[in-house]
Amino acid sequence: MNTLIQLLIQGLALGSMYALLALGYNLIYSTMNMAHFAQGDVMMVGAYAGMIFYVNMDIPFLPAVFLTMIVTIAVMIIIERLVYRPMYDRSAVSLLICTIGMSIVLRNGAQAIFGPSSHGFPSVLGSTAVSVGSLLIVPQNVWITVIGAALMAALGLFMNRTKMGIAMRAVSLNRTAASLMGIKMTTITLFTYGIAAALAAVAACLMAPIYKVYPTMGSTVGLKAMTASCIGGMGNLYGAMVGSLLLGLLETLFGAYVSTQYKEALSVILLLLILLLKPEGLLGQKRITKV
Amino acid sequence: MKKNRDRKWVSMPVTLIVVMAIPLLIRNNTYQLNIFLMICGYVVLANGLNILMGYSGQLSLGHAAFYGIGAYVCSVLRRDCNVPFLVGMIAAIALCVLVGLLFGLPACRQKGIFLALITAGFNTVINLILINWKSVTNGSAGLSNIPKLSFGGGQIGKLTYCYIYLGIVVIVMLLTYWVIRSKIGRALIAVRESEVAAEAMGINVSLYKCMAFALSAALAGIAGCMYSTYAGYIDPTSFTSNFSITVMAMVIIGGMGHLFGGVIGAVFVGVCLELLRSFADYQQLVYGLLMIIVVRFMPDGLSSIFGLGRRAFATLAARNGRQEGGKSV
Repeated sequence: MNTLIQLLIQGLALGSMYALLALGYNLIYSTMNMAHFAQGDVMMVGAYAGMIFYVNMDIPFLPAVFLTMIVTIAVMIIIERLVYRPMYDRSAVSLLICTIGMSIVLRNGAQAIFGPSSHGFPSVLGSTAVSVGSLLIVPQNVWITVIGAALMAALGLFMNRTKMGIAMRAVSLNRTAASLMGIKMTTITLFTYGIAAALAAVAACLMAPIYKVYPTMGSTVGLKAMTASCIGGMGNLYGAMVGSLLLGLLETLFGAYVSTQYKEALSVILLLLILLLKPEGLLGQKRITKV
Repeated sequence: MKKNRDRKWVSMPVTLIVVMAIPLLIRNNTYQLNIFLMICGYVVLANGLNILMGYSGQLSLGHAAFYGIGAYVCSVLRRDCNVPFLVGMIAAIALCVLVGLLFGLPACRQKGIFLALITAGFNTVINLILINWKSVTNGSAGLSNIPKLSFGGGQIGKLTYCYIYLGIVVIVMLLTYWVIRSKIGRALIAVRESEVAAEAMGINVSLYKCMAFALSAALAGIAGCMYSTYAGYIDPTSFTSNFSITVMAMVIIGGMGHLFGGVIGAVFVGVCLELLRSFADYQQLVYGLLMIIVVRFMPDGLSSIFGLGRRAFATLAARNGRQEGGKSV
């Protein structure tokens, strides 16, 4: 029973990290109607930036996180302006290929600059287990879950209560009508990519102490976050949260009770099941497109 | 129209003669002969993916999985059961076609990012199986001592190897040409252009998509056999999603949807990979950048430089007075 609770906490923490990436990914998908394959690699860029700020330049953790956010937002906006914007009127496949190419470029650029080996990142939130009653709880797992939940709640409030958030939801429903209503597309694009980048930066700073910083850290986690988005329902922010937490929990439990070797296959199997049984995702709505 | 036909009938045999002369020219350089063999394998692989991505419009990030299945089936049969190369190849093709069809069944309903994710996931699963099914695949240690091609018990020289592989490549290209020109090819192009219209025209979209998966898987299996036989050693790290993206880059850079797109892309990327071998970090960076540049500025890939792209044909056809939209060979 104790192991189960510990695993659940671990799973929630993992799911929260996936959720931060999946939310950004879902936001871009619903507002810009594009799948940003390179989201995980932007997180990797954030991890390296965070490492430089926190480890090399000895800036305290919270300011380092904010500086990392600025770096990732800048990187995203530059990429969007240079690479993605000319491709918006092309086919969706071309844009997807562009993002895949960008993922490769970011990953290998980081490898060329920093080398393929992993760099250390000291633990900030406490990685040694603490006994609470009869349980052994790792503090950073709890912190990550709490921070993740807080950010998810903040994003939810933003999307529902603020003018900009409602505008973004309007754009995701009907781009042309929103533009006719006076919503500026450039501002929406800025905010979408900015929020996605900021969430990725926080995910990076939370993930770096656990997984260390290395060039391919973004790709695997990015794929899992994308899978989680699909499972929960693409374009639906709550779906991203539910899908990510579910994936994190199931993966941790699967790894502990069934098999550690085939743990990576779990996300694929879940994706296959969802695509076969409920293709629009757990919380998604069926979309009927007129031909 | 006569002009197009004449050009084609002259340039193809000339190219073939030039390519056949290459092994003779480099016959003293083992390293270059090895690269030639490797590029032959890549050509077959890229051709297969071109059928899937270029002609059917199905983005696939998992092609290295079929490459791996073909390589391992052929290697295990030839190494442990002393099976001749041709039989090993046929077995590899059979298994690849089976897996391709099985995988195509759920995959043919997906589009865009979902298809990309499910194919990447498929690659991950196959890679995991290759690593963990130690009794058959020997896990991460890989399979070594895979016997090379031999006729009647004797070892054959590298030069003969080159010509045999070149022969396989030519047969594969002829097969691809035949498929594209047939009803199957036309159906695939229709599916790519508009699935709804194709379905309305009576084309069974799911069937043809599965066929495309099976066909491209078969070609990948052949390429896997070719690779395992000349390399003598294979391990699971060659068959990851990373390599799938490399093959995808070959098809995109060469020109998606054109007959020689796979060939041109494979040769180009293969040569680039070798030239940059001393700068291992920059290999992928270069063709990642190329992918973005090609998709943005030259959607027909390098084929457009040779005047072979879709738009080039459309312009030529229009100039010769025909009412044809963008079409491929």
